[in-house]
Amino acid sequence: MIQLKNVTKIYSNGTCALSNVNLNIRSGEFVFLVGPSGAGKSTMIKLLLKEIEPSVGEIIVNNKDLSKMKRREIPYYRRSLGVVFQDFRLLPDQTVYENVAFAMEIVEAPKKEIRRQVPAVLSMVGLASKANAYPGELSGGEQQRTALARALVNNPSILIADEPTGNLDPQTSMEIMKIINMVNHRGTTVIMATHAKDIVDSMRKRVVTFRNGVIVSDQEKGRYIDEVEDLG
Amino acid sequence: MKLRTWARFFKQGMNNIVRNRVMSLASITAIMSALIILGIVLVIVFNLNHMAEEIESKLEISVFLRENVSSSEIQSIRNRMENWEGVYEVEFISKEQALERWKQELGDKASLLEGYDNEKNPLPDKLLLRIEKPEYAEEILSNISKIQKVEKVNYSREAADLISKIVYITRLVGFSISALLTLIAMIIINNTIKMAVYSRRREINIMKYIGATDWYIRWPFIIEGFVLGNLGAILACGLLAGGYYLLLENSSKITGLKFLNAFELLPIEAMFYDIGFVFFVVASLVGIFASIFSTYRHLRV
Repeated sequence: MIQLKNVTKIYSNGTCALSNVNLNIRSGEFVFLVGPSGAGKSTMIKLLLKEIEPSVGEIIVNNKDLSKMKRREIPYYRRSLGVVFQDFRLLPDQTVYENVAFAMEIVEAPKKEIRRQVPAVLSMVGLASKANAYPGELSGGEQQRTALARALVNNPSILIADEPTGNLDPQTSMEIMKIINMVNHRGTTVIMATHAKDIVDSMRKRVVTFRNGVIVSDQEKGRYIDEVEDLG
Repeated sequence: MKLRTWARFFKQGMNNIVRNRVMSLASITAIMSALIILGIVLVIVFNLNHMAEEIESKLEISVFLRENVSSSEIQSIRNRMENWEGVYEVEFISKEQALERWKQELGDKASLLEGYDNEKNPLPDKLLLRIEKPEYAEEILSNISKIQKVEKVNYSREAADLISKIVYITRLVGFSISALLTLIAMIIINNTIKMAVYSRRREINIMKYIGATDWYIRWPFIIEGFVLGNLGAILACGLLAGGYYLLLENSSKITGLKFLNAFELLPIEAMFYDIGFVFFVVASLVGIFASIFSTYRHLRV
């Protein structure tokens, strides 16, 4: 489903963010991307969103070679991805319902379908009662659930989460992880960059560890690796 | 795209205008000023053209014939002249007719011509050529000079030439000024759109991640530019028509315009459909292109 072949990214200022990365992610997998800041996690996510291009190498998502994708095809490609960020990125002047419906309006979904799908996805993330609240009236966890609802409302085949629990307390984080796990069980591939050791250790999913732009470990049912020595 | 989507674009464009009130007002004022100058030029040019047309319709070349040209010779000259390009009428005025007209023109001073009659007539026979445009005059004059029976030619083109010179200079100066002001208006609208893009950058960022196409993001800003431009155009058209109406009402009282009394100023409805259309086109193009330019620069995905 997702394939990176010999991917290297050198930024224009000379920083080598990723060097010769090879990674294969199968459909329906749950993958943690871990590692210290600057190890290459964010670069990975940006490459997958086609915000940036690799300097060398190939990225293939859903059988499409991203480097051969035309500019005007990018929006349609992104519709197959759901994205959530650490800072939620909600529209403050729109309600929870409107924030989620926004994602469907952009792809010009029929009004009927919006009216059916938005409440369904809101109740899935446990926010049915907050549909008319504004983001400013919500807790961090509720805001992130709104963002999740928005990412999921168009039924993406891949969910990309960039430190989704970075701004949340441990308990709220676990609630978010429950939702993400449920989404994964329904068949959506999940790629999640994170610093949260306790989450990674408790989930027992595949863990890909980055150090200085290189994959230093890739374990099924893995654990968070803090120190280089842990690699044994 | 769906009607509902267009309604959304329009609403967003309007929101942008209200949200950045100060910049919107600056944009509207800028495009309005540029169009008012353009409009003044158009009003002057329309009126001068009208004036020139009136003068040109009176363009005449008088051809005085030598003595003792026979009437069959006159007829053949006349036939030749009627075939020249730009000549639409040739009138023959015999010396007797000319004397009669002169007497009539003098009216109560006709006694000055006493002693002159058909036997003793100082006036020559005359052919009067009416021509379509002053541009034809030169060739016609050179043709006339080839005719041997001609004594003298009289042609006054100064008035027509002066008007076409004024039209030319007005166009040149006026259009340069309005082009410059249009450019300034374009830059100001460009900046307004930049501000609107900036104030919506969060939303635009989110839209990009969700998979909105570039055009989906761009349209509200283009509509904003279009609306700003046309608000300026409507104001300019209203102010200009109002000003022109006052001019028409008071033209007889303004001493500087007295010489114009020989010519009628064009009525409002003769010009303002055209001017309104020109304003609409210019304002729309300026607004749309300023927005497209601005969004291309500031909406990088």
